[in-house]
Amino acid sequence: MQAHAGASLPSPVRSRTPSMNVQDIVAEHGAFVWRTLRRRGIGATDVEDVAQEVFLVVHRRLADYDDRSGMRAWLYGICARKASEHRRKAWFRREQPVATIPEQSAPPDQPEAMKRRQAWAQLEAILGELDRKKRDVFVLFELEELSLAEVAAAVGCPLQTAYSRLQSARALVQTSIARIHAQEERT
Amino acid sequence: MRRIEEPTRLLDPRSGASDDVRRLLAAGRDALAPTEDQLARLGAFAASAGTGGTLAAGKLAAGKAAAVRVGIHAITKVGVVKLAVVLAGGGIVAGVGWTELHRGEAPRTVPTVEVVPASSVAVPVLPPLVSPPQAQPVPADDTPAAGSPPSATQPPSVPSAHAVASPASTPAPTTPSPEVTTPSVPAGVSPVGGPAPSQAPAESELALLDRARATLAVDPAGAMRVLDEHRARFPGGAFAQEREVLAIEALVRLGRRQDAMARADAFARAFPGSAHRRRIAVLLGEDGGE
Repeated sequence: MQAHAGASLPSPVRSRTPSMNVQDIVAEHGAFVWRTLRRRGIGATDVEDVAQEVFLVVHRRLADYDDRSGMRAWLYGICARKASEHRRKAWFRREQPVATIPEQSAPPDQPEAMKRRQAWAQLEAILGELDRKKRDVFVLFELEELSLAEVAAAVGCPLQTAYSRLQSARALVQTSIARIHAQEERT
Repeated sequence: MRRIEEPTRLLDPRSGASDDVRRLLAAGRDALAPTEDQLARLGAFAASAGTGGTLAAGKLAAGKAAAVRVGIHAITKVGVVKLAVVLAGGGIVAGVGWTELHRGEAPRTVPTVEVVPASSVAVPVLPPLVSPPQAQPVPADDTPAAGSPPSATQPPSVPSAHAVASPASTPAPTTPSPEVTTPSVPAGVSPVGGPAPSQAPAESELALLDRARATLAVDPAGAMRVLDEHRARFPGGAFAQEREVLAIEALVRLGRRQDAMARADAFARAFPGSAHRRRIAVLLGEDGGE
């Protein structure tokens, strides 16, 4: 249903607002890109660099952006590529002698932040039980609050399929959470 | 034929999800968000990307892990090289980077690593074209689950009111609007001249920084003037840290090492937890050399 054809589309199809620039996109969607990269396995020390790479791509490709499926769906695709690219390169980085300890990009520990991280770790474990396709749809819809149509565009599936994945992911997640909660009550 | 109704999010109290579910999701939603500082840096980076590739590279140089990752960290005193890494696209840019490196302060060799040519590894990976997600055939395993609506044979549409749901957790970097004041000469810096004559009357904070960054490698004195102007006009601006890092780099390039170190000390006092401190240490050769 989405008819992206990337750069080969004739220009009349483009409908982006002329005023849109990369800075605005960062302001509006920078946190989304950040979280998406983190959820796709980019560590806290690397995420800033990978995010910059994402926005370099955005900068280069903005003229080809076709907004029918939404900016976040487009960004999501770029993030997915950059994240997997980064993971492929990871073997090389480990070969590098690093003279100094990598800089901390995580904020200093605070109880609140700690609690959030624990909760995320717990949620991540639950999401880890889902298959990748269901998980992606669930995260984009429930946590990132994309519309279902945007989700479908982001992951490249029909809306009906996105709906199905969401429903089954929800059932599994709620079951897992209920199970964990019951265990906690017992202990 | 039925339209697919936009489901109510579990986080929405009307969804009927249990408190446990909602609490966990809410925490999970916010756990991985960037700090405002990180977002601001990303915004500054984007701003520079918007004004030209070289600027983008300069900003990357200010980032840290990139350099370590590709292994050039050890030999570079000057950020430009790192930029070459990410901009990989253009051989021209990379060439410029190296040239500028050697034109700048003599590169100092650092004992730890002798390095794979960065460009051979890190550069080529960018796919030439990142296209938006393509429509894909429905995978076989995605038959609608129980509880999904009756088959929709046509692409269902979704109420447009939902199409622009925006995450509440997306803070915008703060970019103060430019304020025009008379540039004054900050203490501790001896300006070589006044503000650049070509400057537009209301050049924004970021535009000023971009201009400084653009000329830093070839004209550090000129960049220093721009940075002085920035400091005069935006003493507590959103990108004060970035300005200071650039200024320290410019001072190093000008051979004004004492000034650079004094400024670095001031930076360390003003921004003790800054992510830029490592970059500054690299600029000053304090990261394991000397």
